Amino acid sequence: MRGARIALAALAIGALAACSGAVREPASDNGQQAKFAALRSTSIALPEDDQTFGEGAAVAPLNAHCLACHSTSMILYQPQLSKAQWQAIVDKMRDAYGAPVPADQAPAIVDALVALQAKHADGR
Amino acid sequence: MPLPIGAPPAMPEMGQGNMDRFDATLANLLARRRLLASGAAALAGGAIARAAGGFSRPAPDAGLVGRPVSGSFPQKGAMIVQRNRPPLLETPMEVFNDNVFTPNDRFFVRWHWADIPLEVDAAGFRLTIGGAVKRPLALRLDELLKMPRISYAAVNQCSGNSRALFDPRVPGAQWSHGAMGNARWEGVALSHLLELAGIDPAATRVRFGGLDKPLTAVDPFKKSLAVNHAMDGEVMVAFAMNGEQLPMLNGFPLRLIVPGWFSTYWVKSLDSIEVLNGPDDNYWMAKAYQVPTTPHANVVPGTKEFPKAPISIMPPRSWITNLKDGATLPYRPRIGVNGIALGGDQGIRSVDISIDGGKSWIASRLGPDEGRYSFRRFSTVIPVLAHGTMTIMSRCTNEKGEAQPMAPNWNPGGYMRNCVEACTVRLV
Ligand code: HEC
Repeated sequence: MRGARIALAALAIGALAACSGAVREPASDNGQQAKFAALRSTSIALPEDDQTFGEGAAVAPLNAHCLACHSTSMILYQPQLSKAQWQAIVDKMRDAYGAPVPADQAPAIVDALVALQAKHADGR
Repeated sequence: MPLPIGAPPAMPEMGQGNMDRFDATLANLLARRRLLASGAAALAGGAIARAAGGFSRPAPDAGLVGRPVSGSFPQKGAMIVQRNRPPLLETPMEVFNDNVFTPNDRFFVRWHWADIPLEVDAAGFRLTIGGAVKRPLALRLDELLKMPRISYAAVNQCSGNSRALFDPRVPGAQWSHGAMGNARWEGVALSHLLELAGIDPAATRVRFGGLDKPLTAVDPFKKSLAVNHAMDGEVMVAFAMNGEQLPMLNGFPLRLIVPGWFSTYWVKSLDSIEVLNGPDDNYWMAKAYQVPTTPHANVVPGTKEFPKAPISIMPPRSWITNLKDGATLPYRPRIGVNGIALGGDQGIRSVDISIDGGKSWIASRLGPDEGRYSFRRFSTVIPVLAHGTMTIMSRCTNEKGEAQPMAPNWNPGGYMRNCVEACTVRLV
């Protein structure tokens, strides 16, 4: 069985027999009668995501400020962006989404993003 | 406690081992620990100690290829991983060739905020209806299941579906065409619930919120509809998808269904309905998901300022699904072409095929009609004039007479692509 492919607790809601409500059928419903009678409690576990941008001073600002709300791929999968575009993204993270980016560190983060993309572009 | 440190990083192909290594309980603990680390340490500006490894290592952008396909997500089969956390999972194109309905375990996944629901107790869950209403309600799931039901098929498509094809490219989730799916939804008409609560005659909009939460003190993800739309009898609070309860990652236990409209309104794990007396100034309605008001939401690339409106109705689209763009096939004099089309908020009038770059079109045969909001299959057989490269295009026209344009659109959000897509194959 796949470890992560689970629906852990299946809480019985035995009392809910067939639904009593009339099934209204819009034209698009090919006469399929609703049989759905109960919902089971569900819990899932997501695969762990501990990835970082790697080690070293070049990526340290990104590890410190850009991993709380989303994985590295949110950044690594972006197309080639200009410095101004990265600046706009860092501003948006701070102003619209509340990312704690101290004003004096924003330039270092933008530089790190530009350098990261340049490095990957060279390595391609 | 054994941690999955140093676990093989990539899962480039489906069907391989390694899918079993995530012990469910352990992973759950780790997820909570990570969330705490994010919330407390990282958001306080501290550095986070993170182990190397993980399960799906992103490679830097390599165009549209090279995304890992993984079967590691709960209640999901093989999916293209655009982002692990919070998950952005894309449906591989071949799934759309198999059936007009998208199986629940292959249905695309899209969340915004890091804190997504991982656990719902069916008995304890409540859907609240409040704001400008006479009788605020807190409904249990078993109560909803006893109410009159409606059911229909409808396509759920992300506003940014196909964003990765924008030229020039734009930032955001780099979806190819698989941020969409078609399901038969079943639930209670939103109008029925609003009638039970008795909405204020002066109400303007109805706003929807779910169990996902931001980690910071900013607006949570909420969306709203005009009262007339909310009361149209079609907008649905769904508890079933293709005859099953919804997968957790698709919004268990309840999801708002807004047929014909982009997925951003289809609020997942819906737990609050709020009737408003004024405008909705929440970030996700007022600032995000805005498109140019021009035809096809198209502006000159690079334009930043333009009249905007919240994205809404889906325009028609179609995709050839039995041939893979770029494939090489043995020559034959005739070749079958089929695929799926979507009319938007209308049924499909026709899907036409061109093999001369759009100069001439031939009508295809449409498959069974599953309802105006559903995918519909099309198929035809076309002559292969010569050995070599051949570009095949499909163009959907909906019942309103709106046809897919030839030219791709552009806007900075990467929204509402609906141009004719080309599929180029080599017959040798
Ligand atoms: C407080 C949470 C938070 C933090 C911290 C954060 N982001 Fe984001 N980021 C978001 C949200 C929310 C989105 C939109 C999510 C979505 O569309 O799924 C986003 C989206 C993005 C995108 C996609 C483009 C876009 O505009 O939607 C990029 C690129 C990005 N973030 C980069 C960064 C970088 C670089 C950092 C570090 C400076 C960072 N983020 C830190 C919350 C955050």
